[in-house]
Amino acid sequence: MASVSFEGVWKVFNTFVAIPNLDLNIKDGEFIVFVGPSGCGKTTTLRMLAGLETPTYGSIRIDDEDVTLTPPGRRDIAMVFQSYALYPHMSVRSNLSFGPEVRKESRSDLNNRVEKVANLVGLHGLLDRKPAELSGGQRQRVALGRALIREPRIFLLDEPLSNLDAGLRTHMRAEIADLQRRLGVTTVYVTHDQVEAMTMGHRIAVFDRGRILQVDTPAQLYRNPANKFVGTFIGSPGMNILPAELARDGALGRIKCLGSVFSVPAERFFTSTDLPSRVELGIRPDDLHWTKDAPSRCREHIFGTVRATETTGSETFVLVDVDGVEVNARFPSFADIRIGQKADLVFDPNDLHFFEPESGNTLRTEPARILEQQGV
Amino acid sequence: MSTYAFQHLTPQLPSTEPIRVKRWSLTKVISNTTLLVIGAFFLLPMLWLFAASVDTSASWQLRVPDFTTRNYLLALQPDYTRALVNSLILSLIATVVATVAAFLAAYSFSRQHIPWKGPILLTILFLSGVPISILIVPIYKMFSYVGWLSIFPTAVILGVTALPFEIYLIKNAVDAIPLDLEEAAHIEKASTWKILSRIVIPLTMPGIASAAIFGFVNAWGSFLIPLVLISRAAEQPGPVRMYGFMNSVAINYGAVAAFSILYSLPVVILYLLMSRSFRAGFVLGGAVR
Repeated sequence: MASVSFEGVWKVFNTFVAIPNLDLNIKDGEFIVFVGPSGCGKTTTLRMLAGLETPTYGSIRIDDEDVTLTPPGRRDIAMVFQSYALYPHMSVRSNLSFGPEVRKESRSDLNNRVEKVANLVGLHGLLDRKPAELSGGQRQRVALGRALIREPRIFLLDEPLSNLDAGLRTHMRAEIADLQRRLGVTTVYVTHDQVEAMTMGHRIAVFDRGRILQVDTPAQLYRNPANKFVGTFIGSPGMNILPAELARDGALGRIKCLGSVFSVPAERFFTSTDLPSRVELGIRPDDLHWTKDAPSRCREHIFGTVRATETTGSETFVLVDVDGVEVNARFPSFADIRIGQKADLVFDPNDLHFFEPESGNTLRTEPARILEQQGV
Repeated sequence: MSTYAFQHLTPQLPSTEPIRVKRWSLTKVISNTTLLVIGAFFLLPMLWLFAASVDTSASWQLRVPDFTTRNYLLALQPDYTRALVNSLILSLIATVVATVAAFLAAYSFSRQHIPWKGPILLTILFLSGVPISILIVPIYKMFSYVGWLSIFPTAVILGVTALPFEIYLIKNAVDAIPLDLEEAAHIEKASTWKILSRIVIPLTMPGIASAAIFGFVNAWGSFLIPLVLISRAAEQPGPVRMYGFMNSVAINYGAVAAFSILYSLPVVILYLLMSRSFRAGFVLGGAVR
């Protein structure tokens, strides 16, 4: 087990700055997820931690030991690759025992260790098969087993579930999270799937264009996104972003949006008194309720026309045109709603998010405090 | 679904005739006949070779042989067998030299950052098309100057002639191995030598095998280079020796045929041996990505 810290890490490929000045602390035993769209630098960051890439500037420490230039093999880490990187010409057994063999670890209990790890990841009876003879899920287990047999200080997982079908992915998600809980090894998990990130991580680092926008628990990320990108990236379907006009009125902030005017307690929502007059308002589809199925705290009414519906079985997402702006709202699946109908929506102003239109940063007080603590 | 599960019956097939694809068509007949004719052009010389090798009075004509083993006995005389052994030595050295060097070069080309890699590879490809015989005069001069006109330096030169093409063959094979595999091994603390010996070489084996066969056959069939660069008759390989069956007065067709068959045996055996590693290669081809 180990803690990790990135200090002022940069990665520049020729002229392309992949990672500009990254600072991040990962606690001992933590399950941290790097999430972001493709090309956002999350895999590069993981590869720098693995030692497969050298940072251009800065330093990386594992347990206060500077490993910036330590070769991958000496970092005592294990990595699961997106492609699994199983050795196709070796049996499952040889794949598992390859590491201990090349590290010249004692051969006497190697068989026992292989058996133990095989049982742990559910590969019993498949040890003599070649990777080509295994299903996707089984290959994934071999890759995990190969990481486990090392008993490393840190696990690195690079999009390990992206090659599995949906059902198996959900299953392996739970298995990996459970395994990590039992072993308590510091784990860095890279994914582009925000659902994976939300369900698995203790903390999530949201990446965009090489920068970490927010590092937080899944609940905090969802409730208090530090900026517009985090707000729209986390949660499915994404947060509605709407243009709004904002005016300060004593202790209240008065907002004009969606064809209505409403007010929120200013000190709860805005850090500074110097507020822009035009802001971007964010509201999650889950927080826009159908009048007939709304919590009593929802006071603000808006009306619109249904443009499209999308049902998942347990719920229906309805695209409603409100005063020329389309918003996505979550309806219960039993709601009898058709395209072209009028829809009444209600929401609680306390569920709103406000972002500066240019920087996209939140105007809200609380997440700003969280960000300061992390020195982002 | 569930109703079928209860019935334990194969479903009732439709009463109409099942759909059949027509087996014969004019185009198929024409194309197959053409192929048979072309095939005969390749088959007839082979047939002549076998017939002539056991014929008492073999000529250039294809005919039913008067059976004899005399041709083979002649071809198996010590002079000729030594020539075969020389061919074997020459080709094995050339193969080993070329394949080892080509593998190392190919791996570097595939994995390392090399300035002007593209132009260098293009040059290599160009060189593989240049016949070495155009350089034979300067090479002869150099070799005779340093006193290398013997079998071992010639074997190395023959290996070098196969090098460009072998580099290309093996580089393609190395390119096909995902870099992840090496990185995974690197993280496991495997040394470069371990990564090469336990991962890259086993996975490149089909490519290495084809390159090695190319190198072997390239040296095995070479006539001009040994003829010029080997000064002692006793060190000359098979093809040069075979020339001895033909003198200005007559050609001993039977002996030529018998010797040719003996001479082609090592190559046939090599293919049979190597075919195992080709098969292994195909299994790997469908492996995990």
